[in-house]
Amino acid sequence: MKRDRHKTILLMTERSEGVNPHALTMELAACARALSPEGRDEITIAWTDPGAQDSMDALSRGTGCRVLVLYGDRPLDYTCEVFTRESAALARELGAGIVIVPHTPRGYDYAPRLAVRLGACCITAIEGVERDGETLRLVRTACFGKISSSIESGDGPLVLTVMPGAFRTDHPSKEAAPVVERRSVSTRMETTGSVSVRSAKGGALDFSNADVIVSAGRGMQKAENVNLVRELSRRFPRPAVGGSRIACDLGWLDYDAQVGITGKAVAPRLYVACGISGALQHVAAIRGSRHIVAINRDPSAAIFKEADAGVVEDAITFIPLLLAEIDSRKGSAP
Amino acid sequence: MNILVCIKQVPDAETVFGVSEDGTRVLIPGNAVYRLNRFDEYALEEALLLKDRAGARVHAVSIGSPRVESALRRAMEMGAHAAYRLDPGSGEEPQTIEKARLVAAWAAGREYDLILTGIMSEDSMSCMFAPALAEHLGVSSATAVMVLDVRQEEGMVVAEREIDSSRREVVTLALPAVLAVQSGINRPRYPSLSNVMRAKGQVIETASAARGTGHAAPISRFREVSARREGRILKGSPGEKAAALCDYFHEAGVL
Ligand SMILES: Cc1cc2nc3c(=O)[nH]c(=O)nc-3n(C[C@H](O)[C@H](O)[C@H](O)COP(=O)(O)OP(=O)(O)OC[C@H]3O[C@@H](n4cnc5c(N)ncnc54)[C@H](O)[C@@H]3O)c2cc1C
Ligand SMILES: Nc1ncnc2c1ncn2[C@@H]1O[C@H](COP(=O)(O)O)[C@@H](O)[C@H]1O
Repeated sequence: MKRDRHKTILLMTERSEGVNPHALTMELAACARALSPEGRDEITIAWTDPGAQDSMDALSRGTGCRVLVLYGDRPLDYTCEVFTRESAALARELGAGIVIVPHTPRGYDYAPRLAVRLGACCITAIEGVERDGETLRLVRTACFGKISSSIESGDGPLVLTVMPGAFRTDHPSKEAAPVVERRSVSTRMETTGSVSVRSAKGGALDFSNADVIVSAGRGMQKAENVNLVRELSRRFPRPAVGGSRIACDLGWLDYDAQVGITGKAVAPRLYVACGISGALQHVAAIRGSRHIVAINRDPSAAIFKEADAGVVEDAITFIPLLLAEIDSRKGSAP
Repeated sequence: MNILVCIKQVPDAETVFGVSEDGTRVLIPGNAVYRLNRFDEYALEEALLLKDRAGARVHAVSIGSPRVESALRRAMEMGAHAAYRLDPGSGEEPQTIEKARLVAAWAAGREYDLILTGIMSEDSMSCMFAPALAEHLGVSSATAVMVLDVRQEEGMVVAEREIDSSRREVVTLALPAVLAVQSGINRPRYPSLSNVMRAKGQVIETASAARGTGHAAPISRFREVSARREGRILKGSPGEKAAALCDYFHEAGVL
């Protein structure tokens, strides 16, 4: 990526229930600044919520970026069709070399379409930016979380999706006067009918009081073996049982026990992952744990990179040994 | 109704991946086990449920070397009527957007009402294929679909997309449409004996997928993921490891 080719970096934000749009936008701005270390590129935030003027001023000042507030003849609720069309139009008009979109269920829904429409290269789920001399590289993980790739993107236009939480919010070096502009966009839809948001049944299980969470993954092999995980959890004070998405999909656990970006984020004193591979969508939600232990028979499993202590064993034969050891120390019969 | 399901073959989760000395290639051991991308089983099952309910015709397609035919065979064992392999020629697997372009070029004119994909491939983890395919075809798309209601007479599909654990986005799209389904939408079936027998006699058709001369693929450097924590691997016999882990639990103040 030759630096001097970029004139504008466009940050596409979204209005989404339950996410703090300002916080996410600060992360996108941090990513954009990492991609423009000399600060030569103009960074523009496209904002789709008709917010109050002073909150837009604050956003512009807090990020050091120009804010374009987009509005339509009705609220700019997310649809793939409108977001693809309007962001493409905006990117073309601004001559954007890079468009940055959050890797959220809305962001990854339209970013690849946008890339195809712009004839751009698309790199998704970016977790970092690395500098290698003049070259900037985008970092993401692949292969069940085991392999990291750093990608040099070439000279052409680029559409990126950025993992929420990956970029630490920093502050612009210079305090500048806020730049906020408003612009009307079309909300016309040709292939999309109604859109609405409904609430799904939220889980009743609450992990926030648990000191220790023991979780089961597909590696537990079958539903009955999840009892081993339950047994283990009972050896600890204030325990809870969690699971990977796959363990819940298989019906081994209720969905309210799902840990991960589309389940619950947890931060117990101890998290024990049994037969869990360590995919990003799972581990991103356990990183707040004080201690993490992994039991997995694959020595190359990504979960060991997230763990303080790891045991390479078959969980189904190992957990009974562990239970016996705990019980013998407690002085009670297993 | 004609449904196309796009499937990918991936190495199993327990594969020990390596990286070539110059960092430009991921190395997969020769004895690696390959299987169907787990997320694609949900896409296949959803198509087969529509077949069971409404008599849809279900085709499966995969881009890849002859090795991917076992994944296509599995799709037929589950109940797909026909399977197609698009051969990308020699060399590295094409980039995702390029793969989407190749499938679009092949599928255009074949009159699919619905194209289903998995939400993500377990190896490249890009979540990119379905929207890119739809854009190449000029049709509507949705990802992370948890409920799918096809209303063919009305020429539309109602899809519920997962936003997070407690929110769904309900969107109505014109057919044809490309939908990436999320895991948990159904429980994928195991192949029945009769379908396994039937699949034995079926041929997998091969079409060559002419690669475009689009822009150069980005250059990647690969490495093992670096550790975020100490990652102390406990040593010894299983019993010794259990003892060491107990010690760790004491250190952590939870026992
Ligand atoms: C948009 C999106 C959202 C997602 N959200 C979530 C989420 O919220 N939470 C979540 O968990 N996932 C989520 N996922 C799925 C995620 O990508 C992984 O597919 C999932 O976490 C894998 O679950 P797993 O580790 O149980 O199974 P696998 O990946 O199949 O791993 C099984 C592991 O068990 C090990 N193993 C096998 N047998 C044994 C044995 N006998 N003893 C010990 N170890 C054994 C294997 O080595 C392997 O590491 C999401 C995916 C997408 C695309
Ligand atoms: N080589 C391929 N052939 C056919 N379909 C594919 C291929 N690669 C990816 N897909 C489809 O695209 C989905 C998402 O993959 P990805 O964009 O790589 O995360 C997968 O679940 C498959 O349904």
